[in-house]
Amino acid sequence: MLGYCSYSSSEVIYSTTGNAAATGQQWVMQNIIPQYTGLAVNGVVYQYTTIKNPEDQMVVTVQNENAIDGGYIFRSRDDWSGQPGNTINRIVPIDYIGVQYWGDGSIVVEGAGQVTDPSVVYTYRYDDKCIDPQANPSCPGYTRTIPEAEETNLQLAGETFQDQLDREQVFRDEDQERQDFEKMKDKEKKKIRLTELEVMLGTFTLNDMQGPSEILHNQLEVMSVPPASYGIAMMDPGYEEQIRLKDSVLPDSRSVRRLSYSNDVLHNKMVEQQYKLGETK
Amino acid sequence: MNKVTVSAILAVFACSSFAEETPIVGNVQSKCQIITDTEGVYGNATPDTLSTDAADGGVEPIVRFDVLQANYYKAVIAHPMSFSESPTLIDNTAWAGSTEVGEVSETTMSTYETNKVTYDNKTEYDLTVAGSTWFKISSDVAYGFDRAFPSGIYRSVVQADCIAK
Repeated sequence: MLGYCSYSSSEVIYSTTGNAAATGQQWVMQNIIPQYTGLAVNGVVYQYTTIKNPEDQMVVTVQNENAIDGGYIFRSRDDWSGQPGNTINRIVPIDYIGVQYWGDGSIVVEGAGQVTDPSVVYTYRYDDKCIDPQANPSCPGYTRTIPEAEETNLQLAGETFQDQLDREQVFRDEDQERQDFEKMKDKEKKKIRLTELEVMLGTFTLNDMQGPSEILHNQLEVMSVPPASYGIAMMDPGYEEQIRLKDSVLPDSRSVRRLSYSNDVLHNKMVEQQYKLGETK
Repeated sequence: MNKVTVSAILAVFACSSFAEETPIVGNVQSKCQIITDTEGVYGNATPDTLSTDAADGGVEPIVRFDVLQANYYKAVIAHPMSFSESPTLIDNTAWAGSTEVGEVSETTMSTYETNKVTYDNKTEYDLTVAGSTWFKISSDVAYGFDRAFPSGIYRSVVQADCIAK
């Protein structure tokens, strides 16, 4: 089970190229390093031997052009001026630069002297789940596609591009409608909670006020302070509804529009197929 | 009575004078490392000689010195002068060898070879540049006067030291 999980999860793979300078002191990176999406170079290991007189001026540069912004994405200069020739072996760490930036590479010699037995190797890493960027939403270069609804998936296979755009617009409207509905539900819930809180607090306040007011009322009655009409209850005349709303046509919701649209497309397609069947006969 | 008084004073003194020993610990890690890059092999091109020369079928051992701090260390490499393991030998062995800079990680290390000091079977390099240096060691042994080496396993050891200056 564990093995299955590790296999199904995304795996970062570290690897190295072969010797880029095996066939010469200039190389095309597309032929050297895999052009996977998300692949990043994290190091350059190079080695070469210089043949020169110690007193000669000589500078050797191992470099890669910047394929996107121009200039160079990698440059390592070795100044052999005044030094005897030797074999240099150098590891240059790189801060994970995407493969798309790595242009053509070369070894350039300035001054007197020769470079022999060059070796340039790139170390890199990539995510095996991102070789196809559409395989995983977390991959760089992934573009979101709107999935087709189940009920229209098969029936709409022959739709035009405009039909597809319309259908996607319907889906987007439906999503917006759903979001609006959720927001409205949240607001209603908040309102209900607020009302419940007010009722609860009002009950406590009413109890606190009711006792003292009854005592005061009794005292005022004993002293005959209130008028005789104070205790007479008023009749409730009732309030009739005055505004009348006229009936009108209610528009379909967007969900219904979408369903009827799908049905229309299916119907049209069936009608067209009928004619096509007639032609083949 | 005096004895008691004295002892009481001492007791008070002992109580009022607290002492604490605070340790300081330092962990020094060497900034010079020696790594065997390639193990050597003796070739036996002729019966009376053993050699690490590629032409004789041997492989020269390579030792790498990684120095993190320049000008603090020197490398002393001794090519072998005896076998650490061999069949019983009844005659003398004549030893020869040398050490040279193989590869460097910095161009300025190329001067190591011209500035090296050799004495006895040792070669000394002043490690004046931080980085990695690969040293190649050669070793040759001749047995007696045109005498064939007895069959068996022969081993010798290259001694490489990184010494703080």
